[in-house]
Amino acid sequence: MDFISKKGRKIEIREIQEKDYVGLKNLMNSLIRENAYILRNTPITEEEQLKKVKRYLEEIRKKERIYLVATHKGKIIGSVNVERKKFKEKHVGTLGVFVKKNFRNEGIGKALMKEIIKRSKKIGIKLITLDLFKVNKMAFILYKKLGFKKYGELPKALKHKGKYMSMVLMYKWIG
Amino acid sequence: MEFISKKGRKIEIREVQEKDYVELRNFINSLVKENTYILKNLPIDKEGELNYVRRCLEEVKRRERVHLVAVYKNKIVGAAEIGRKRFKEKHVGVLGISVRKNYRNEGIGKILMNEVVKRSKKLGIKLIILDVFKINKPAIALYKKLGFKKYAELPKALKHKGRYISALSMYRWVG
Repeated sequence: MDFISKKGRKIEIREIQEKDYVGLKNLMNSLIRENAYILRNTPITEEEQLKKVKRYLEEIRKKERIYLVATHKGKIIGSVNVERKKFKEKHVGTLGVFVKKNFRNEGIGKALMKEIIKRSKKIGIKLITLDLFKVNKMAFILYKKLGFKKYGELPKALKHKGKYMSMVLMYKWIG
Repeated sequence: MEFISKKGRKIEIREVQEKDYVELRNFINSLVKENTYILKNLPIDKEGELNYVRRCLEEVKRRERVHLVAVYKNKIVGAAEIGRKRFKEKHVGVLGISVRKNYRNEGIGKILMNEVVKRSKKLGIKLIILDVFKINKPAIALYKKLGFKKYAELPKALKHKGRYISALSMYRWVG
């Protein structure tokens, strides 16, 4: 699907493909360089990212994952994925969403999340959970707007820029 | 190490070894059959268990995991493991523990937990987290006694015996 961002840019949202591994690697490494509110703190290699994408595609086939990317002029500037849990948690999906620095605050994260929640329902996921850095107020506001509720907070869960900080946990029932 | 349980049984606690996979599988499948408060609801086959044990040993070697078993007369009657997270969560370990049905309430879980926590500190783990079925009152009482505090509660997190139930998350700072 296509949509126009708040800043008037034409953004495409589509399923991930194998060839996206280069674009995804670039996106992840730009976030790592920025030291954004993400867990990873070491750059990812092309080889590693290709291996991951191949695994994702396998999981997508088995309906254990959904993975979408947002592109602008052919470049990946955002991604969202939901990973389905197993066994007694098979109805639960954990969500991760990323938007490149200069594309934030124009509705791309929101559009990505709405789209993936819609698709998660179709594969039988009923409960979506996510984690976020407590200091990431922008993200918290967005998740709340989309109907997520806080269900916990873990002190000193993360070490970011040399300091321990809390993680906030949120959920949304979509079943 | 060895100790005498409350019921007078001599229990050995030691690191997991590759040859344990047969006994470990019997143990885990006994829990699955009992349909106790564990996530797994499908029995595991021999090959799957061997692969799992090998992966665990690999992680132990890389100091990313501590994995102990409790043995009574050559039978595995309990297991406890802590897996280290990565990146900005490298100081966090996720704890899992289980004790065989007829060996509960005699102190084996407590000794396993104390031992696995002690060893995980040596790997630099500072924060230990665990999840527990909210209806598993004896487990929650034990974790509280050992200094764990609740930090999250997720409604409908699990489907157990056909019903949705909540999961609690607890933590203990050991750094």
